[in-house]
Amino acid sequence: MSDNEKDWLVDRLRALGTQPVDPATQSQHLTEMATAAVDRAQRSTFLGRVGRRVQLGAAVAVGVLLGTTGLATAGALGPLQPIAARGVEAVTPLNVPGGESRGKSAEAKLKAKGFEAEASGVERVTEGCEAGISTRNRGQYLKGIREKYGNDSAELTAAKASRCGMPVSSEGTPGTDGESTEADASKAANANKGKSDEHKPGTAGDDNGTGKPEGTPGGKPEGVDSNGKAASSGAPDTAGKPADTPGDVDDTSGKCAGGTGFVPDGQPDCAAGS
Amino acid sequence: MSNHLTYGSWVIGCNTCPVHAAGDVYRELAPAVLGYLRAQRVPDPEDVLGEVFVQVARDLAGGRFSGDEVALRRWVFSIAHNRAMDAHRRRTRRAAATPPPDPAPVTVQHDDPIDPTLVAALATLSPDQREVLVLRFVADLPLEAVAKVTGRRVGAVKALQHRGLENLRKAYPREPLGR
Repeated sequence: MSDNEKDWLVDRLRALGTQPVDPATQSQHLTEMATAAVDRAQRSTFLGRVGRRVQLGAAVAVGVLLGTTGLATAGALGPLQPIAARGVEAVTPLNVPGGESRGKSAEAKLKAKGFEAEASGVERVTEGCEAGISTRNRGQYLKGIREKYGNDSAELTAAKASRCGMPVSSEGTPGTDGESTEADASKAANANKGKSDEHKPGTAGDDNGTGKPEGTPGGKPEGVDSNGKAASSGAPDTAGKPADTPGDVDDTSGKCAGGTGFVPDGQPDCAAGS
Repeated sequence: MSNHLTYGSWVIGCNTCPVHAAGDVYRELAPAVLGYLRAQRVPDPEDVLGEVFVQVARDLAGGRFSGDEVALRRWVFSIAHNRAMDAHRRRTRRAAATPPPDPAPVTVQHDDPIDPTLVAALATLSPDQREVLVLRFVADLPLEAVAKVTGRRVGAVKALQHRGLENLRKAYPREPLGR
């Protein structure tokens, strides 16, 4: 195909695109276009205005949520968190933490210092007790004295003779039921293990008022077999079971379930045959 | 084409501007779009032309277009291309439902104000070749724009254009028509 023929064909094709539109058809189309354009412009303006407000509101809400969540997580919300907690608790049955910052309740302060006993409602003997040492329970008090003054100090002996940390409702009298002698004997037996026999969490000084025996697992006293019975029969301890496992003393009745050699606070001395 | 067909900035901040802009676009491009639709043998080309420009006016009012003159022309013919495809599909579905009485694939529309012989000759080309020739010369789009509208590479468009012109020359001889 020559260039001349090609140009002629292209000219014929271009002529197809230059034929005018019928004026009536053109007028009809322009009317339809104007209607569609105005409708679309009005709708887009309205939607744009509303949409921008919605977007702005959503951005503010998300910002406040993220900011307050971050502050609450960092514990730096100031007095707002307790106020918010009280407000939520007032209208809902939910238990909302009061936060760790300023304005926290007395209960929260006690918990923060380790005085859960006071917070839990079990009233303990605090009269004549060493200031600054927890009276959360008997074991914690003796532990505090021991850590402060040492194992052989006179303060520890005096603390053992006192009723500090014991429940006010308890009737036991330290120092009169052989606590010091029996406990010291067991302590001497466990001295090689380097463990305290009175202050293991969950065993000694249980603050629930059940009076579980003081002592640590493995802290078996001399003269006590694995079943918690007195070793008067001379049977060797082969099971290796800790002698002071819970259950040796009937917590509810206070009766002896077996002679452990330990004298729990306020509990009868089973080894003494009480 | 004049330079006032830069409508992107007109649309912003003026509710009535899109109407005027769409009107100008119509007056500038409607003949080419109508020629394109006729060359593509779209049924009821005037109705489809109206649909195309209603869509153009709506999108201009919504601020969906911004660009220069070539981009505007390509955008309008993209809409026309899609509408033409829709019209062909509608016709195919209708034909499948009720077979036409005349099975002849090419019919010359003697009442058409444009050259009916040329339209008939275009109908003998393959759809790809016809599409490229019409977009390239009736719509007056550059090769790159044709490639974008049809979804082909520029080299493929060139090849289709070359073969289409060859076939059109055979189907539309110059001498018998005395031109």
